[in-house]
Amino acid sequence: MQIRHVLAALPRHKLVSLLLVVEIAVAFAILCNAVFIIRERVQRMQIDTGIAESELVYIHNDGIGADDNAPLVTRNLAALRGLGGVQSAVAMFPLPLENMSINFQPWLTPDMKLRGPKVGMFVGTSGYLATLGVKIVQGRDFKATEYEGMDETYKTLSPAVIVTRDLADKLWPGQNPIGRKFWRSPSRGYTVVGVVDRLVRGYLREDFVPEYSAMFPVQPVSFVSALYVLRVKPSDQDRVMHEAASLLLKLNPDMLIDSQGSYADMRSDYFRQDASLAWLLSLVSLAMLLVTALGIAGLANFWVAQRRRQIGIRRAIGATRGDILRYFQTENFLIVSGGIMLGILLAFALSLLLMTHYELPRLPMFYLPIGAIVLWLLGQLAVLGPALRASRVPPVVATRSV
Amino acid sequence: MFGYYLDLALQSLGRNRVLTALMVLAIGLGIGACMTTLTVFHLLSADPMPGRSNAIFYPQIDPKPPGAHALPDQLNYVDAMNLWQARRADRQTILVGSSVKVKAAETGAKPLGLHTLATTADFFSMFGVSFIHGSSWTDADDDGKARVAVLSRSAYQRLFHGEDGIGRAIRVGLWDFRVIGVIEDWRPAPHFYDLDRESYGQGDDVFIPFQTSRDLADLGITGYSLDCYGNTTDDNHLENQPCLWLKFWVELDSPAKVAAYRQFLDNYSREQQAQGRFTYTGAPHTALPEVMQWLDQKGAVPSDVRLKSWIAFGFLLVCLTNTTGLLLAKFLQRSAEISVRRALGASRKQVFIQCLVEASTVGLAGGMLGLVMAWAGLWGIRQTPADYADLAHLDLPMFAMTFILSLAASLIAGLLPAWRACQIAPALQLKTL
Repeated sequence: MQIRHVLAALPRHKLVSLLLVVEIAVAFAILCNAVFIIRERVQRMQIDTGIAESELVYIHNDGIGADDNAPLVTRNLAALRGLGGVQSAVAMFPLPLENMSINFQPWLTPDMKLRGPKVGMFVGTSGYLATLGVKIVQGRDFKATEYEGMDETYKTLSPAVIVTRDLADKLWPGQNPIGRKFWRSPSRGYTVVGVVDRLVRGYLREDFVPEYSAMFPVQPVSFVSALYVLRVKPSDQDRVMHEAASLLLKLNPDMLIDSQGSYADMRSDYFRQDASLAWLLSLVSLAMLLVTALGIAGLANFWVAQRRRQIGIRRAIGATRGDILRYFQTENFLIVSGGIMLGILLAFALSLLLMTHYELPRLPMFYLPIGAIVLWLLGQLAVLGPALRASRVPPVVATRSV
Repeated sequence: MFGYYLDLALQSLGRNRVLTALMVLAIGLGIGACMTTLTVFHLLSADPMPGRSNAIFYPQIDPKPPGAHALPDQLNYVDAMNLWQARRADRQTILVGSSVKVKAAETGAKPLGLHTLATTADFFSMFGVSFIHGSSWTDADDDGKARVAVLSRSAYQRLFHGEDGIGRAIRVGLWDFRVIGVIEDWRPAPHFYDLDRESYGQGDDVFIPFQTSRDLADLGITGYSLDCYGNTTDDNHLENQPCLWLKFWVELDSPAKVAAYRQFLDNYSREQQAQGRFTYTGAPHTALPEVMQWLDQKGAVPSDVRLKSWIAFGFLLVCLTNTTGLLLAKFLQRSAEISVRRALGASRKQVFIQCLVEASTVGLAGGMLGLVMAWAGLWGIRQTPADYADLAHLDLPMFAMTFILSLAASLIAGLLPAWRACQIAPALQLKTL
């Protein structure tokens, strides 16, 4: 009954209704895609690095230069371990998401014929896997004797390597990886002694799998001297960072500390662009909802003012207040529904555009009903005030000239 | 007449303040969001060397073994030296950067980590870098591996604290270099000549001859992106390693020279193929993009920045349809008033113009609000840790653009309502009065 009235009246202001439909359609299309992008980015930012993030502190410096200075690293590490609250201290390269990484492609046969995927390289001094807090799920950690030197191309001399479970599954699917070998050059073969649950590389790229990492043992050498990583309880971190920096500068007056902080800071810095996009999209989505709601309310107000006389007549010939209220609500529902229908088409067109230009996956279907419910609710909320005002128009208006 | 329309517009807008505020708010928000993202986009996609960039080229050749791969972005040592020594361009320069520890040579000075660029003498004249003290080194210094350095103004200030440092020594890594020149701080945005470190970060601070940096390989100046395509035997002495790590730029100031240089690159590649150094067969893989093409090719402007601009434009579109709807409703509500004016002799055109004046008044007010919003938005961006954050300022062209955009937006928004309003027939409406 109500719908028939509304439909009969809609063509009388078709241009304005049409504009509202277009506005809602565009808002719907942008909203669905924006929320989708926000979700993608937030998911990316939530990646599990596999290390004890909350308990790590790092100090990045200019390193010791030549390998002859290696005793300095040993001395610095010993001094850092002496600080109160420091559970362990190692020198390594790199931390996950440090925005730096060295990658290699392992050869699976000594004749250099069969090659694996790109793998992120980790090296560190004695006990670095325990300091990072990665979980060894198969095999063993490095033995003390396996921490040896490096050659001129920064490949470790010890033949021991530990890999992530994902990498082991990729290189030797369905087989026990312990004891398997890969080569980085004809003369540098490595034997897997252990498998860790998970470790994400220093730098993420779309064409690399983040979890393909290999860990090598090394003595304190120049190559790892630029990054000290300490395991410290969160409550001690601020104090330890302060003390560690002044201690290092006292021991090495010429040292240059580029950056230091908690691992959480390093991680959030890595994702700052994703965070900035997610923030901007959230702000724009909210502003868009606000503008749309205000626009709907503004137009509804107009219509109520314009139709005071008709409302009065309907009230005079028997329509209840509820009838008038529902009339405006139904009208809004129809217009918003029209907007959503057009919006679904636009949302897919926009998604297609984003897929070609920004390598985004296709907009999942379930965003559409959720977006529709949000806009329906928003429309009803926006129209409620004007509709209530309309319902309070007294029947006596019908008898007066405008 | 215009003054009268303006008066009418202000009266009409004042009659329904809430609605006017709503329209101004919608346009202001839309313009603010657009101008914030557009300013960043404009900033990041600007020509880093206006007036010079179309004479500067980046030669690319392919020394990699056959197999599917893109044309490499860098050169290996052998090819870079061959092209540099051939001197077929007006100017040519090799460059490679790293962050290096630098301090004033006297004892007790505090070391600084400075972006150091190993390059050749032509760098300064080719990119039009201006000197404030001293001068560049010469080709002879390049060949003679001279230990001389040119500093940026800010590095000079930080190392010598306002004292005269020309001729004095700085310690770069473990070695002493004599300061022979100081340049005005130069921070091209983007950092086009080496895009492998943050593209919009600070400029380079220390410049030393490329050959000297090879002589002192332990300085470790091997660039921010080392790409090896074969088995390496030494990652510090890269002269004979199959690694891409050098940038090479040439200046060619006429189309004929550009064509000749393309020919030269092709001939060079063929020669290397014939000698067996390049193992692929068929047509030579070479390219010679100019600065802006190179930036485009490398996607120097982050794709997120582009995405943000598009989203902001979408938002503006929503704001505009919103304003159009409100203006339309508003003009139609005044049908009676308009038909009286029409009956008294106002032409359709006059009604049309009157409506547009009202729309553009809203637009200008919205533009003003948008300017405040954009200013606030850019302030917000400056607080973020992005490498271009401190560059985000509203410049004069973007300031003017704000008003043009808001006026255009409101005129477009007003077009349909004004057209609809001037269709109102005088007689019909008068009857209903």
